[in-house]
Amino acid sequence: MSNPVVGRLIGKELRLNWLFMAGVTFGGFVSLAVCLLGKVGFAAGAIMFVTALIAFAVTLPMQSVAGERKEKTRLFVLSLPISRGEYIWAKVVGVSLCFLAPWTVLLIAALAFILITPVPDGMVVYTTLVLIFALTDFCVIVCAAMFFTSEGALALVIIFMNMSVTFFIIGASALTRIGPDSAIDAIHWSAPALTILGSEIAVVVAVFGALYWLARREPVVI
Amino acid sequence: MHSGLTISQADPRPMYLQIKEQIRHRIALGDWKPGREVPSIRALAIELRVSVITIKRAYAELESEGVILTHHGKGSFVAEAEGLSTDLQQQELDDHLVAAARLAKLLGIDETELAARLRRAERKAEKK
Amino acid sequence: MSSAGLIVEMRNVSRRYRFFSLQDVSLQLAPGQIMGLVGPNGAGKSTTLRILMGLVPADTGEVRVFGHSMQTEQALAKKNIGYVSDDMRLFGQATLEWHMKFVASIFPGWDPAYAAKLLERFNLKPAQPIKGLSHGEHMKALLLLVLARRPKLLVLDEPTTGLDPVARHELLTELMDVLKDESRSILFSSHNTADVERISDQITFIDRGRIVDCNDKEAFLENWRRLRLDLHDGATLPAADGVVDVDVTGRIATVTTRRYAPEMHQVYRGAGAIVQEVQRMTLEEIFVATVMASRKEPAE
Repeated sequence: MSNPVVGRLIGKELRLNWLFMAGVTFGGFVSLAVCLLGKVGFAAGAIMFVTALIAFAVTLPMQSVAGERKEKTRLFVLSLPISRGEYIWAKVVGVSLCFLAPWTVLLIAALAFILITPVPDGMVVYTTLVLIFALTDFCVIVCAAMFFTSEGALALVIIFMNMSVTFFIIGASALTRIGPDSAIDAIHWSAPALTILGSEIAVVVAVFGALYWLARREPVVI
Repeated sequence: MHSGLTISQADPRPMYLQIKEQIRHRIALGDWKPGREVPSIRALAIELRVSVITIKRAYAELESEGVILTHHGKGSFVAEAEGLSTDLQQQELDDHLVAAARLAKLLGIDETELAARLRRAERKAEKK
Repeated sequence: MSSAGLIVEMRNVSRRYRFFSLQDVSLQLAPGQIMGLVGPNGAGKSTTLRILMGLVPADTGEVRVFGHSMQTEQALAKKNIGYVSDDMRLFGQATLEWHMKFVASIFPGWDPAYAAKLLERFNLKPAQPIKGLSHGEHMKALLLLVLARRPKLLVLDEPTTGLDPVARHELLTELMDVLKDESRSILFSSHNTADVERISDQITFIDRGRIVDCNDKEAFLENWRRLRLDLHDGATLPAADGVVDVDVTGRIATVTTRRYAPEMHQVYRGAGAIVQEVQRMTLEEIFVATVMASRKEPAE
């Protein structure tokens, strides 16, 4: 993957999506601001925050990855001096950077928000888990968007992932007993929390690993 | 060099024949004088927007007919044959006469009448 | 021609799809040549060109461009290939100017002066976003992006579809201009048999996933003829080698042959059939006759 064209394509990805990235980041900050408005504001802001990130995790790959196939822009990119595998990898890395930039900013902002404001610091653990779940969500959808040719199948994956967000938010909270109802003012990584964290990271690494391995096998993507 | 030749898509005759005929005509007229360089095959192909292979064919036939000469590496030239221009004009005349004879046969016109019509035509040509 | 020096070499390429298969396709393109690929819709022209470009792998057979195997070295080969297909799309939110800069940053052969000339000739505005372009303008933009980098090989899938007559004229002029450099070649597929007939050196006919004929253009135009014959009482036409179609209506027979020879007149006269007219055939007529004849043959 040392082809310089890969680098150019990654740069292209960032340039074409920067407005989207900026918008999501801005939306995230607005949500955090809303969180300052009392208990109701906090709940609303939290939901807005997560929704913004999940929506981004879904629409970015839809537009950038699946869109490129649907719009036959893939044919143009594949006419450049790259192999099929290099195309896939350039796309995966490019779109991931587009996601990770705002995601990192918002993760830091959310954690800082928790530590600075009167919100119990125990929320740090829970928030981290939820945000990494958004990353996991993103990875799964990137995979599906890259390889599924049926729009229906892709839509099913998205619906399933969206449903699992709610499941995760409630489930993780129950499992770790450190959800939004908790009031611990200390950062405590309990065993269940660490297990969840470990699984999420494992999924992310596995997905990227699988994508890299698949790319090397030069699959057909048009 | 600009040749000024044209290919007509409306003309039923094949492209290579049109090219041959136009080149012969220019030589017959004296426009392209003996020894003059003619456009390279590639240059003519590009100018007329016609495949190289068609120009090659036209040139090959013109060469075998002694109308042009190709010096490998130097280009193609109008043949220096004496009276080439007249020869080609003679050929054009013969071509016209054959076409007239064919038409006459189709119309059922016999030799004597054809000859009479030729004399009439000569007189017409003189008036102009 | 030996493999060395061939720009494109496809050997016995096959690819299977659910409802279509490309079978045993072989193609050769020498430097400085223009080859036209002609076939009905669904014949496999686009599939062949995509396999040629390495976008789709062949199930069997070999594809080499500039001597590089497209299976393993397609990125290297593509440095010198300009590929345009009429279903290809540029990035809608970006402008033509952005695309020009993008392509120029990837291909060292980009000629900005020539690009500017093409903008003028094709009547395109660089600041216009791609999504605002009509189909014809989009096609011209794609062509500009490949022409301006002066690639050694141009692979064009239906380049004239959707272009108005002026744009087609401009494109054909630019394509012929490519030939100024004897080492550059063009392979294009087209429905427009008039254009193919005019500018191609070699022509390949494809139908239902198979190559049905391949020859140089003048050979096609010289060998194919349609004969009109008057049949005198009791005359039956003798079988002749190369005849692909015979139509007898009353006393008139129309014979289509792919191997015309003047000797045929005598053979027919001997059987009581007098040739009244020998017609040349346009590439389109040759193509249709070829496809009809190949479809009549039992599949192997």
